[in-house]
Amino acid sequence: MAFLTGQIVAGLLVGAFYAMIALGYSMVYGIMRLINFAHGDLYMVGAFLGFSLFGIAGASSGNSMLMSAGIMVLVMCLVGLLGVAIERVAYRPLRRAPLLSVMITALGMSLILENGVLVTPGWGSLYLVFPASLSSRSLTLLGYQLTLGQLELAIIAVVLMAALYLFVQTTMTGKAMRAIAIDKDASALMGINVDVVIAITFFMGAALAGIAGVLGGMYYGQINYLMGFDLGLKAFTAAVLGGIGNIPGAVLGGFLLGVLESIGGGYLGSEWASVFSFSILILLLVVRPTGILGEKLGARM
Amino acid sequence: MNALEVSGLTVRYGPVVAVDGLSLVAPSHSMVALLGANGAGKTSTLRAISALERGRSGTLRLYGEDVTRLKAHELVARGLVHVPERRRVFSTMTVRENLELGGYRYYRQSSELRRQFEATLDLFPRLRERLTQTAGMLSGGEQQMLAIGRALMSKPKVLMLDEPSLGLGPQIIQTIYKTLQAISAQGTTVLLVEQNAHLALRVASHVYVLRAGHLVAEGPPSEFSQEATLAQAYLGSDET
Repeated sequence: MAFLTGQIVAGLLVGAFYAMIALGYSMVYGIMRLINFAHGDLYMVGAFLGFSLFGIAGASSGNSMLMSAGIMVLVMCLVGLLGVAIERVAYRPLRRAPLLSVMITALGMSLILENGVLVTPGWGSLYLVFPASLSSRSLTLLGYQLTLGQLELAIIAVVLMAALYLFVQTTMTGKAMRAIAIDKDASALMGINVDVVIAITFFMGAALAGIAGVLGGMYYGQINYLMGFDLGLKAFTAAVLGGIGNIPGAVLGGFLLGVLESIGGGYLGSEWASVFSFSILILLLVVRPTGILGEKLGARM
Repeated sequence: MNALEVSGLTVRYGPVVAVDGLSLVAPSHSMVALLGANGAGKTSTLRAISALERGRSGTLRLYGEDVTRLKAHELVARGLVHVPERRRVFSTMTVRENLELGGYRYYRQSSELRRQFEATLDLFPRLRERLTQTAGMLSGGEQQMLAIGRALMSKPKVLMLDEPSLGLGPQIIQTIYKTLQAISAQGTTVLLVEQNAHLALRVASHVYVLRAGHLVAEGPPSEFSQEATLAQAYLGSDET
């Protein structure tokens, strides 16, 4: 039983990463019917920016909480702006183009980000050791032993996701996002500047991926220019599992995938973790193609 | 003064010309109807005026000002508001949210928003009872009320409506047309697109008839009711 609880807690932590990335996939899909394959790479770029910023700040000596928070906010802004730039340069000109053109463009954007990081001096192809880490002080919560860092990670993820949900549900910009997801032309007729709201959506999704990247670097301790590919794939799976286009669905899918993978991996051996989670996905899609919370799948996908 | 002035409007979908060189004016405070059979280009005309169509040419003036190059959301801020065909309410959002989105241009002025919200609900009391329901749950007539109410939230100077009677029962059509006349009486200029000619001829002060993308007739409604056969020819068969 203790083993199972341990696997669930570990799964929830990995699931928090999946959920944070899945949100970006889901929001962009919801508003533009676009699978942004470059989204996982924004997580990777966030990790590398965090790597450099912690390096500049000399994190190894005084790892203060305030500085870590400052770096995370800065990375969120930078990656958010990168997301906006990608939308402006690569996706906006293709807004009325066939779906296939947009998907190829997204794949190309993913390659540009990965190889851009690969050739950047100081980043490169090897696994880099992340200069900062989460606190490893251990504490006991509900009878389960975990580190302070893990708890911090969980709190940051949950707070950000709750804030995003509240933003989308209650603010006028959030309502405009939901309106655009339903009907772009009708939204424009309400006086909504559709381009600006789409840019804000990209900013928020990318910022969330960016901070997840910094947290990922701190949690796993090492980063690599391809780290976004695997996580992006998993997060995409999570988004589909929960019902793509649906914000609570992305969070649910992320945590569910993390836990399933962890339990499956725990009992079958960790090399089977991905097999287990993708099998669950295939099974679920057979029974319920729209995902757990999904309503109607767009005609374009 | 002309509230709305469209000249030489042409709309193309690839090689197909949907509207060919249409010119029309809506004098301030008037109610102008644009009639025509299904496929005559009425909806394309409104969508082009609202800057939703890309393949369009011609000029558009709002109170004498050239607004041809403005985007759809900028036209709303200038007071040109369009109730689209088939209502297009945001079906999974609540009635309240739909109305709030209609008042999007006022979202930084909460007092203005509240005033418009109350005025709209006074005009459509049925919506007040349904504020927390999702728009998709409303009946067709209520959805049309919501679509019009949503447009009124932004205090339009010129209101364009695309077939507000579409798919509705006679009683609800009466209600909606009465409301339109009230809106018009309050000083809003109305451009009404209708397939149902009888309805439009009853309320409009001036009528344009469109066939296959061309303007084929215009004049006060009396001209058309007297020449029933002419109307028949231009408007297609009688469907009321």
